[in-house]
Amino acid sequence: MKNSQAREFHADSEAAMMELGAQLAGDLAGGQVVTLSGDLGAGKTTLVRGMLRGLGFDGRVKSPSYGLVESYEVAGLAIHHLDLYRLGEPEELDFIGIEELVGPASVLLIEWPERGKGRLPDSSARIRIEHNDDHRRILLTR
Amino acid sequence: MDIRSRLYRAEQVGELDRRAIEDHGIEGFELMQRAGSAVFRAIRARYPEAKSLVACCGGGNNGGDGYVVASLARNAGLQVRVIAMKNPEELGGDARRAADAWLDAGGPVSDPDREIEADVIVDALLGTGLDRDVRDDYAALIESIDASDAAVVAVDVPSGLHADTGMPLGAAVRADMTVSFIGRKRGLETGRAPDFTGTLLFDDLDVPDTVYRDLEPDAERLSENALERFLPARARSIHKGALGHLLVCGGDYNMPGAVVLASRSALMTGSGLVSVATRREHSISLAGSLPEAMWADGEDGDMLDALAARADVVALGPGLGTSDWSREVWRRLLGRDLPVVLDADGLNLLAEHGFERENWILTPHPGEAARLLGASAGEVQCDRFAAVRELATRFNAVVALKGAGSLVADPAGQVALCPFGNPAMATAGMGDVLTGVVASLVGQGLDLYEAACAGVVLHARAGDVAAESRRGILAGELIDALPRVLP
Repeated sequence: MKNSQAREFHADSEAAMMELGAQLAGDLAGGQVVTLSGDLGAGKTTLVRGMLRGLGFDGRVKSPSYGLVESYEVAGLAIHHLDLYRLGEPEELDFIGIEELVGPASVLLIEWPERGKGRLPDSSARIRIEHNDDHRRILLTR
Repeated sequence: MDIRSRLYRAEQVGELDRRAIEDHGIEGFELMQRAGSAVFRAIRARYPEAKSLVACCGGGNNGGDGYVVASLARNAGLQVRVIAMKNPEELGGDARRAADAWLDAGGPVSDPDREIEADVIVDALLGTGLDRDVRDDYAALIESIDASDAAVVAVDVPSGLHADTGMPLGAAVRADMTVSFIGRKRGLETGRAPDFTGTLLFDDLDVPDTVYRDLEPDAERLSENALERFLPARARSIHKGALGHLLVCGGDYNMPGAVVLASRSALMTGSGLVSVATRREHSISLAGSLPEAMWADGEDGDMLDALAARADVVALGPGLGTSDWSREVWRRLLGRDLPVVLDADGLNLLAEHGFERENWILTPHPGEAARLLGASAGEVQCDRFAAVRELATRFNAVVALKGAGSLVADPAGQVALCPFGNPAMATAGMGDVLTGVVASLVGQGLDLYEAACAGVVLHARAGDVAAESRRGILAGELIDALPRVLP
């Protein structure tokens, strides 16, 4: 990993998480792979929703529960939201063709990246959410 | 199916009448005599001191039954009067014959009046054929009946009550006792019907069994022996692994109690192992309140996975909430290939997001059912049979629609009614207990429909035992009563 630098944010509500997502969306650019880690209910999906809203997407943001991937076209980017929680083996990622999702005009937002260990493209940023009651501490490492 | 457990729609009971008369040669007037006798016997048994009786007779065969009761009562020495909604001269068929017998014997007939003085009023105004709001003149008399101090006994069905749905049609008689004939009407023991029927008795009028042959009942009335029927005796060598591992998931912030109730109910119903996945802090603070369960951090995805992999069944929803955490565990667990009993906020999330799966039981109360159907609770209660069938089909699930006269349906359209339970059960946490009981039975190997049927009966019977004549009981008291009704 090159020159890693960490930033820390805090959010006390779902609205604050959305806001933070929108703020972070400003840094998204084609070719990026961003991972999101944290416990169940930590707010990973809320943060993704915030990012999509920040980019100007106004449709419904679903959790990618069935197909592992939900894709959105917005602001000239293809945003692929992956949730690997239900992944049985990292090898299953080959079946969904994750390599093909990566490209100069696409961004991958990956929840539960630990499930895909060894099969994921290198990440450009890692987000870790820690929570205690309603308080969230968000760590962003590039 | 036992004749006593068959529930019919009014139109099917009409067909049973027709068969008794046309196919088996029992005269209509004879059936009317038997019906009147059954009602009078019931009055004598319950109100042996009664000295006076007023029979309110409508213009159809139900009114004819009323004239028979009046004649029998008069012969027995009671002071009897008939209030006729239709001039006896204008009656037709068997009702005319019954009225003529009354008039020939010198029985008095009067028009409806405001105040009815009697020990017993017989409600023979309207029968099962009613499908629109009662006429104003009938409604006025129904009001007078309700206003009197007399004991009210309804013939076949309380006038104004829809025999298929249990809903009043504008106005309905509030009876202290109803004596119903030939076939049990499905609407008399669910929804609001118990407010109107009072004690419900059934008499088959001695029609031959063949009358019932090849007429598929609309639903089954569950009996107490549903428990013995579905719950096999335990082998002496049984071990906890064979009794099912239940995973209970719920208990968001501010709602910790629900998972305790569900888990404790499941253990009392006989689950071998119960794990609870709840909010991290609850998994620590609640463990001491139910040490028999295994308390796990439901915010830890790996932990939740490991538990789900070992479980035989999931109870999802008690105190689940609608937070990010609630939504995430909801989606995770529904996505697994395990039977699920879904309740409370688990159902609210289903109404919000939808989810396609099979192998699950939904246990909505009318409000939750309404959200799932995109209707109002009032609309659900208007026809509980239709609502429960629609839910079972739409969600490909076994559905237990709670509330007085709980109904269980499967996607194939099969429906069962639980006639047990009491108003003292209308307290907080009762739904969580049912969830635990039903999930426990699934874990013990019952199929989903059996588990839901046996579960509602077990829950309601335990509620009856715990309540005796009390006004309200705690959910925990119902749990303590479970062993007293388990076979």
